[in-house]
Amino acid sequence: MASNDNGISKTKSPSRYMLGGLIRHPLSITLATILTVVSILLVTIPTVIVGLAVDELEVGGLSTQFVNYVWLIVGLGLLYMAMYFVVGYIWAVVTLSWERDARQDFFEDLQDYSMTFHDEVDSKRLLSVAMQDISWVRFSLNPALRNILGGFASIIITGVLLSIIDQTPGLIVLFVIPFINVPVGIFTSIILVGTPIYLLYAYKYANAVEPVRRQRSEVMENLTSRTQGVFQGIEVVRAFGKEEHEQAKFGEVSKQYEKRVAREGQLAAFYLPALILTAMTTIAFFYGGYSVWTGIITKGTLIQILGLLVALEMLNFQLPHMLLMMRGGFVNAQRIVDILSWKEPMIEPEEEVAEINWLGDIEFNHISFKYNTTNGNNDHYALKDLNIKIPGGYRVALIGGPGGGKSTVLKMLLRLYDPTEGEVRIGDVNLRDVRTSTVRDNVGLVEQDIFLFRMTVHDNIAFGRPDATREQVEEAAKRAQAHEFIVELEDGYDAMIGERGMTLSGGQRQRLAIARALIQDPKILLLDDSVSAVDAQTEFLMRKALDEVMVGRTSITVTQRLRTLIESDLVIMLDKGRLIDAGCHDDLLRESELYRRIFERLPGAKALLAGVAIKGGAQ
Amino acid sequence: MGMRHGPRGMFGGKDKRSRPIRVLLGRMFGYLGRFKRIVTIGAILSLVATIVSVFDPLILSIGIDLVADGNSTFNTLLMLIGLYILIKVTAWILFGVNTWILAGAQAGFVQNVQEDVYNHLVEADLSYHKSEQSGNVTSRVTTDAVSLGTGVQVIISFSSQILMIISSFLLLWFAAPALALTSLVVIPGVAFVAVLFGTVGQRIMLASQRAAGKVSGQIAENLSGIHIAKAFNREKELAEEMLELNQQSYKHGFRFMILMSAMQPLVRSIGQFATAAVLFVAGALAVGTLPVLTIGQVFLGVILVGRFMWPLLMVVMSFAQVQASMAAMDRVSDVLESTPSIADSELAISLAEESDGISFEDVTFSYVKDTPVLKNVDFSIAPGEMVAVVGHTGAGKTTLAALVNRFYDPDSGRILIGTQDLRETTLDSLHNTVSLIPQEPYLFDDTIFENIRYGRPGASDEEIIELCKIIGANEFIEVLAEGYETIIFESGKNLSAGQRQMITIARTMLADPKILILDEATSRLDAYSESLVQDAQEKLFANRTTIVIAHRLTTIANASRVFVFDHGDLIEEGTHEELLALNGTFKSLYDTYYAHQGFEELTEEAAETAKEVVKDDTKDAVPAGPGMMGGHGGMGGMGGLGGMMGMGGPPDPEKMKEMIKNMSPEQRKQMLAHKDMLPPPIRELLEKLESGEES
Repeated sequence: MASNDNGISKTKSPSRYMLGGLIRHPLSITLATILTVVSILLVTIPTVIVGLAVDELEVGGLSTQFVNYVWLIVGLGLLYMAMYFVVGYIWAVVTLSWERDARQDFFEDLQDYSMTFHDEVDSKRLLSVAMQDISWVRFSLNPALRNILGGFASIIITGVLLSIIDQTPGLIVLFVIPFINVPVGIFTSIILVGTPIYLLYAYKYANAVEPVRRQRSEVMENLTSRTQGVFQGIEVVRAFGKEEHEQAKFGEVSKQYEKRVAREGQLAAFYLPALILTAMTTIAFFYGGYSVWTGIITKGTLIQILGLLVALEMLNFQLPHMLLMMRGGFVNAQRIVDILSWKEPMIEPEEEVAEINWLGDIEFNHISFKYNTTNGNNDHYALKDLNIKIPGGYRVALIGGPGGGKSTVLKMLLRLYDPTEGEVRIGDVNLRDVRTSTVRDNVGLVEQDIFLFRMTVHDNIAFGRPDATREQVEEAAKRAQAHEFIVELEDGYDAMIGERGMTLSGGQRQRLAIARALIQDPKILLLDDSVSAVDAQTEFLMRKALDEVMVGRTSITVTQRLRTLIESDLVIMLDKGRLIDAGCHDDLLRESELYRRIFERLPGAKALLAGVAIKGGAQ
Repeated sequence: MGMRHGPRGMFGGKDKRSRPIRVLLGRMFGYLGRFKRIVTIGAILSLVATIVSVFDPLILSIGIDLVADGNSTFNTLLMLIGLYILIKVTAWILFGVNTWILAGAQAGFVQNVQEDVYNHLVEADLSYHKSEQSGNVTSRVTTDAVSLGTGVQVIISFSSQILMIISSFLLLWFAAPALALTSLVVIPGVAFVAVLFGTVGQRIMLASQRAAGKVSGQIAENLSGIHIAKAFNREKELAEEMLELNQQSYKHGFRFMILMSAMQPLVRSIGQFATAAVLFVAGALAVGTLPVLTIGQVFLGVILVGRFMWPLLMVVMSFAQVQASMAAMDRVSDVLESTPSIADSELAISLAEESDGISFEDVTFSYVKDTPVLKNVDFSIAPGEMVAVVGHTGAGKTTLAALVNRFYDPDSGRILIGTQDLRETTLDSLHNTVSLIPQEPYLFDDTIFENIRYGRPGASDEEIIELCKIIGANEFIEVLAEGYETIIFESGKNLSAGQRQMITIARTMLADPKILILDEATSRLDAYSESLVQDAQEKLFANRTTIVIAHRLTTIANASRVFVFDHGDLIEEGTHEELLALNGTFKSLYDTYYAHQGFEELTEEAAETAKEVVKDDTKDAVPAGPGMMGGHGGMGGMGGLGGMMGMGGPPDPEKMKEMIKNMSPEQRKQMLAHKDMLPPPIRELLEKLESGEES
């Protein structure tokens, strides 16, 4: 997990995170715990009753008392069913609402993180944490913790019942330590000594599995992302004839996975705590048998003792599994907390500047910017000492080499990032002194890879202003030259846009994005106009839409269109994070070697280039 | 990039099976058969362990009777204790060994399935991959294989549970048939639970999974669009929508959980009723003048009935899991049963070293029967020639590229490289010779180094850096957080479109293919980036046989020939100027798609004409193939110099050095006169040579 040192964060410990939901409902959980104990009592007592019934049988035969015992068992069963259902109900409400809220909070926290976070973290991972890890934490509470509590209750109740049996006259053994006789109840001791040992080993077992489980998940993650990568890029794999290479690589990873899975499965073999329970039963059998033999206790009592311990053995069915689940949940909670404790470098101002002239000049004062790294020692700047002044209301074209820093400039104007050094000023106000939400109300964006949500066309346009009426949406669409194609869609403005807007062409998507920006009506408009090739008709409409959207604003366009370069008031050229040239088209064509390169390959370029006075070496 | 592949929802897949369960089970055991010995040993151990473990309550019950008898000795008790311990420990060891062995077998089984499925998928027809989302394909290898593993485990434990139930019942039967019969009272109860979970439970579970799937999908979408949510200040509204879906998912999850929570008390109280019933019957039989049962047997009855319950419950529960894994097996079978239509023929030979140039001889191809995408296409491209292909959407351009790569075979006619028919060459040698750059630059989730090295495994880091310097990619890679070690994820969301394209160019250059097929990319770059990418591409194209599916004006203008396709027919060919002079289809295509990419003003009139052309040719205004990468350029702009650089061939630094060394002094001087226009590495080399450092 990437993090930086100079930001704010809300760190929590994984265990606090895990138990957060329970802590929030102390009453419900207390009630559920009490009910758990009572209902476990209700299923344990019948064992005692069986013993009593057997004794009754020997004394009185099929007496009324015996029949009553039988009915009592049935009655307790019914009572248990009702009560334990309530327990289940409470746990379901508490843990599932925890899960729901945890997921919601997690999502909202992610949304609030600045883009620094989202650029660093793979969203596949975020999704799997949001869905799976949170679910696993919930599993660790319910059913795992719920059943573990039930198991504890069984052990305690069994212990209590056994200590009652221990009170049978003659059963207590007196250990003679000089001067003091210590009365020891053997059956109570079995529980008192056995249980801690059992739990100790159970805990050890759960701990041993933890690293194995973690490795297994990591290998699985790796395997999944590899596989998905290969299938997504299957054409590339084919084109380079790498099928066998990929198969070999996969074979390796899947063998690793096999090893981890086998290892985890094998840990479940030889569950040592089971033997401890056996030892407990054996001792009880021995001493109980001996006591019956010597006539101190009845057969019925022996049946009670053995029945209780044998019932305890049923724990071996569930407990190891539940312990693992709970221990595993802790690992998942750790992963979630890791993400939630990301330190936010972007700090909102306490008080914001009230009056800002958004149509004022935009200034980049000695801006340097570098991206976060995991190891923290990145000395490569994406922007280095950038100084630009853009007069308000200008149409600006921004161009530059791959990774030259154009998108960083746009993101800074939206305050998706703050500069590492220097300041961005708009109308002579430092952007750091303005809340991000205010910035984004006044700065609009039409991005390159147009993102549309799976909503109706209307909602997608109104994304720019939630309370917009249908008329306003239509008006914006008309100005963006989008109305015409929208009404031709089957449901017009109510048409649902397919996943990621794939049912529309690039040109149509761009015009929707322009409408979305128009309705937001920002003072500063950022456009990444490098979209797909389109036919002249679409192009014509798009140019009209762009002209429309730029009126009365300061606009900064990253563009492919040569016409836009020609028509801009100012062309800014960036490369390797530095400003390499700026000026209007005519000046640049005359003065800038690099700028001329853009036009060189075009048919008729020679005439154009010859038309301007060139200094330098082109013919 | 038109679209990136964001994360997708995590649930889904078909629920209906298309094969009978017998076939699926058969296939499952077929895989298990590879571990025949181990599974047999496991089964035997499991059988023995179950039988042994059934006897321990018997010992206890005998003990109860014996110690109360008065005739028995202390030694009898000791012996019983010893026997009890023996049985318990033996059972524990046997179960342990069994679990150990089967865990290994199960993991091996999963690995086998994974590898088989993966290997099939990597070789599956491209059409399969095109028709499925990559997430779905991946889940065949991951989720489905794991689900199969669980299925195997469930089936194995299923059999041991059944064994447990049967042997407990038999034991009870031999001890007291009446008790055994009484114990059957649990059956209606368990049946009720089973039916409840099989019907209502199943439905609730599916509904709950669907609801969770929606949440997952929404999170995925919102994370992909996070920059838009931020840019428009709409985080709050999106959170509210999420809350609604979350609440829905909660509601369904709650129902399911309630059902699950009800199960335990239900089964346990059924068990308790059974205990009562057995106690009563046993009691009735144990008293009287001729008691049929001993007290110990009463105990045995009570204990064994208790033992019934959990295995029964597990058997009931495992049905759902078995069903799920059968569905997984079914999906996996779909993959395993498909045979790729493209494979090396037995007589296939390697593509010869000297084979170059591409010929199509009367090629017809269709994806769907009777709707040919290419019709009787006939052309030949000379070695080293650069041909641009143009046409409306659906003209067959992309198909052409796919055919040269032999992703498909033509229905009739043949495709030759040099004089060798593609169908008679090995795929391996073909792909070493021909390289395709698909429309969307695709990068793997790996470091930049590894992504470039994909072109030629074994290339050293230095070679890669050197190459990147030559095409001008080094600068931007170095500025990235971790330089060349930067890990790319989500096909490069942390890179700009231009950066992605530069990396794919570097990759292909490293592979150094003789023949290049380029489907110009979907995303445009800004004007300046584009000129840099074009520089890089010029180096890539030099002296290679190249087919470019062109979206860029500059590409067409600089190609040695342009092929015009229309509805699968090759209708015009010639240079850009020749074709314009023809005033035919190319002219109208040119006016519609390419002319406005220049610097002339786009007039409404031109737009209107374009509208007509587009209307005539396609149903709606779809662009001519989404997008474009910086075209490729001939050497036009560079004049004489460009020609020289063009001769440089593949931009292997060694070769380039060689070339410059072999120049005449006049040529070098001429180049140096314009050194500002040369890429830095070449300039440096030239300067070095001039100053006599290297000779």
